[in-house]
Amino acid sequence: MAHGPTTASEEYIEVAPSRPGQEKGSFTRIIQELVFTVDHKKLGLMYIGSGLFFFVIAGLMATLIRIQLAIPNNHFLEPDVFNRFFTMHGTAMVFIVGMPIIFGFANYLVPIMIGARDMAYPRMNAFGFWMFFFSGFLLYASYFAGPGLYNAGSAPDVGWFAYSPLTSRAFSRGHSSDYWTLALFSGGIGSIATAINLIVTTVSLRCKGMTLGRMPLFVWTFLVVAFLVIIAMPPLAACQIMLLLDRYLGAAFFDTQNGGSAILWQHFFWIFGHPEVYILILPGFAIMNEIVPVFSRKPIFGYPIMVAANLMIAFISLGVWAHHMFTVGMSSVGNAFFAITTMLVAVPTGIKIFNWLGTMHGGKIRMELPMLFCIMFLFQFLIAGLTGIMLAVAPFDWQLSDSYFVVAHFHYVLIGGLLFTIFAGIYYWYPKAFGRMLDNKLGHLHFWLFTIGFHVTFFPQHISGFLGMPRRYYTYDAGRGWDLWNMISTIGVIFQAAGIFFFVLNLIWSYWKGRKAGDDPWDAWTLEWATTSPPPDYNFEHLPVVHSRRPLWDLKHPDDPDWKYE
Amino acid sequence: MGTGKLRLSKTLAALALMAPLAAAQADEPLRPIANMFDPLSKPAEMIHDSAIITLIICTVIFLIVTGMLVYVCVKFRSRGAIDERKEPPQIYGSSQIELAWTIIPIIITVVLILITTRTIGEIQDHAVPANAVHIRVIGHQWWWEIHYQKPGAKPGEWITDFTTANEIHVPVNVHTEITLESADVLHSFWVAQLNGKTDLIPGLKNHTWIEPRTTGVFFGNCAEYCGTQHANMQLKVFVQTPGDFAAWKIAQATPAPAPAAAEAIAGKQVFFANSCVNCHKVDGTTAIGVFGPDLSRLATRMTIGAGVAANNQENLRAWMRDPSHLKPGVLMPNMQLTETEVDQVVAFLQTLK
Amino acid sequence: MEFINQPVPEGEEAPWRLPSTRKAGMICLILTESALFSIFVVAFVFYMGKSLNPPYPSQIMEPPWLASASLIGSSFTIMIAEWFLKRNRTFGFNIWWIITVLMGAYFLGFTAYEWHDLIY
Repeated sequence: MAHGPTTASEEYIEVAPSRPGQEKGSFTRIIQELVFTVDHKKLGLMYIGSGLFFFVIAGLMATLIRIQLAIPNNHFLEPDVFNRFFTMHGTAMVFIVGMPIIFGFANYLVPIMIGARDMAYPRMNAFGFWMFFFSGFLLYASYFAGPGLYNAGSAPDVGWFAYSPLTSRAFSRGHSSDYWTLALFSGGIGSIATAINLIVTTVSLRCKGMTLGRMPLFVWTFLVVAFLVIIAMPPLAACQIMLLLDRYLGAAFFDTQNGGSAILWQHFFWIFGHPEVYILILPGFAIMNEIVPVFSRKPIFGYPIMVAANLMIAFISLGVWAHHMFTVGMSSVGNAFFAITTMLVAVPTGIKIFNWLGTMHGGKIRMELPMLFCIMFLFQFLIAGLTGIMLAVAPFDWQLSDSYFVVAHFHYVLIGGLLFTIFAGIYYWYPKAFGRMLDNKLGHLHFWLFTIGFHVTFFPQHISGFLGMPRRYYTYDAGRGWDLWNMISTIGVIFQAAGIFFFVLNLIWSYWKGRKAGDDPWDAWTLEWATTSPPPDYNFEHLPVVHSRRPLWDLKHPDDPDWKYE
Repeated sequence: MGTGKLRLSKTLAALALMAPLAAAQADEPLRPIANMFDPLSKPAEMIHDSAIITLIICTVIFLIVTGMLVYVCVKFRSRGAIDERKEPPQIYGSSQIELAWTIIPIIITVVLILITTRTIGEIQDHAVPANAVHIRVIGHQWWWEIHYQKPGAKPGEWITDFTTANEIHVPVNVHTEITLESADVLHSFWVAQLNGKTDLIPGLKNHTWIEPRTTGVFFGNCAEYCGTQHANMQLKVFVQTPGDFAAWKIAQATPAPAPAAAEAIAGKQVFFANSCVNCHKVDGTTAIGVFGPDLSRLATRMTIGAGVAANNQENLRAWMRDPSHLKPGVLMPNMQLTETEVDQVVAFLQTLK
Repeated sequence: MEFINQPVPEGEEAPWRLPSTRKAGMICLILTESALFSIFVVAFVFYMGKSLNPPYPSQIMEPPWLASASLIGSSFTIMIAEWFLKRNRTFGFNIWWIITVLMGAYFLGFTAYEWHDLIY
């Protein structure tokens, strides 16, 4: 079994480039390879690459939003244009930036980490990617096609959770909401396909000795994420189907003018929407679980309880959705119930933070770039978690909800939490994927500019929230106490944008000029570092056999292997 | 018509908003900063109390954990190449420590849960006293319709005494019970210094209440995204002394006297000759439209367009020329009035006090 | 790196078995479907009997007993057909398979008829 199934075609390419334009490395050849590939590593990189592409577009929208809000009574953007921007920014960042990037990491790493040659269903994997990819373009196509024959609309402007009845035909004319609906629906099918694939891969394709108790925590966390996806995404699909029935077949699920219920949409949406938040943040935990031990030179502290905490978070996350709805007038019992379940999330999350600290304690922490991003994650996610607790205190939430405080909170979760770990992950695994290290100087520029910019942008938004500034306002009057904080917030964007510029520059520059990485530049312990960088199509020449959670530690320290202590 | 010029005039109008307001309404102090940590009403104070405890707990946790993080990073950072040769002792976990940091968060959570549930009960299940003022607030895209209950109505029954728009007047130190409804999409009623927000939901009746401690003009906002002009769906709550409130109520419930000046009389004719009356109501006349704000006492209000501009002659003229220049996307159409007609209608509107 | 010549803990020579990908995949798919339909069912239950104006469903519709029975029954007949197929008994398979198809066709036809009847 020296050769994987794809080796034959590989040889074919080497031996016979055949027609002109088909030579290996030519542009058409690369495009052809990308379109036809079912290789989990290529698909993973395509996921991350296209996610970053959409990230830049959605980030530019956020920049325009911040310019509009820099000064009171600004006329930089028309209200409708502004409303489309925040809707598209939110929708894009959640569905075609966050989801694909985390799936990209999962796709690339899960099969290698469990010692498999590919995902369980490679073609379904490609299907999932292309569904997502075109759903992204479908979403943005609304800018051109949204007005339809009515010449009304353009891009969706209903907010990323599209509360009914704003989406009914009376209030959302043209096809903008339909583009939103169909893009999320088709993207959701792709996500579900990928999630099923991940579960089956993890359950059925582990290499010899890779018991559930020895799986890297990264894989464990993504197993939980994938389960959340297959439980949470279908309700979203059901919502979209019902919304389309409302809009075109005269159903009245959410159409309040025909006896529908506006609250029902909120319940259904957040039954999807809250697990979605954990779908987005758990991969951040997954990356932390890999990077923190390696750079602290110690195994993860309390592996079993980390797994248990993941499962607890996933389980509780299915029962907290209505904490997005404390202001809709639920009974006091309902409010109290959802406040309690929400606060319970703090327990497993706290365990995780303390266990990461426990991992670092007593280690020899190498302050390399991936670790710097992880340390900032700990700090920022702590803030995000604590503001989350404030939001869970239902009476406090009556003040805070739908204010800029919420905006600050979820940007601390999604940027301070998720995006920082994505950066950490990219700095950590880029050498594996491309065989070259990312440049350290550009990386530090990126890290410092982005970290400063992030805090300067989003910390003041807590305060403008305290001062009563509601979210989704395209303008505000002077004299309400919001001017200063909005100005500071906008200034921060300059630093963030500069940081992202150096990041993208680094990705491109290092691809050709970066220092050669070798197979195992970080002296790490999981299986992906046992193969070459970049790994061959078949991942491993011989499928590995593992005896502990850190198979490479066992190889590097045969006198003191891990399995003696587990 | 050059949009640039009108844009500029709109900016100037908006920038000049605050100063004339203070002059026009000297009775109560303006409170434009909706600071939730400066509560001036009963439910907002209860929320504030639980918020402060939560903030203190969270700050303490933040300081402790950040301290631990900094300590760990400084103490255990790798010190160059000599240090890297040997791996540190491999520790896999410790049941006692993990148990400790499971139990401590649970205790904190229980404390927070007790605070939360108590405050929820105190605010939501608060009894409505007999002397309460009852008002109904109906959200529209992008303004607030406000109904006052006729005195002497039976509990649970609603008879409207008079209606107004965008500006609520309530007496100080009295419980005001507010019923919230919506005519179109979701809105949210939020005056941070008086109470937290409650949504206005089509097809449902929500309730909230306030009991202000001091007089003043409190600035509020719509806090649930409701379409194009969500940002300009502002709300003002005038908390008055019981005497002032009673006088205001009587004034609102009586129709404004018919205009006397020639220009205003002409303006009234223009008003009734156009389709204004289909959407607007003026008490004591045949104008009984309900789609737009009630104009019966328009001239007594502080702002027009739900807070988009100060209520003065210049802004009223700009509004009558084309409402969507002051408030882009507003549902009121441009009535295509001539300059003379604009002046006449504005003269008429200014008699409505 | 080689995984072959490393020291091995005792008792690790047990055969390595994992669940089949087909079973795992099918269970996931069923979970997905249940999540999807549970939302539809909740929406149905929420609106059951609610109608703004008459005629109300109970006045004009009868429970489609036969169609429901054939829908649910077809799940069992296809199982029987599969049982025959696994034992290479094509005749039995054909019979039960055709019965399943007929029941499905009846259900679909009745649904189409219902829709036609209600909307037009």
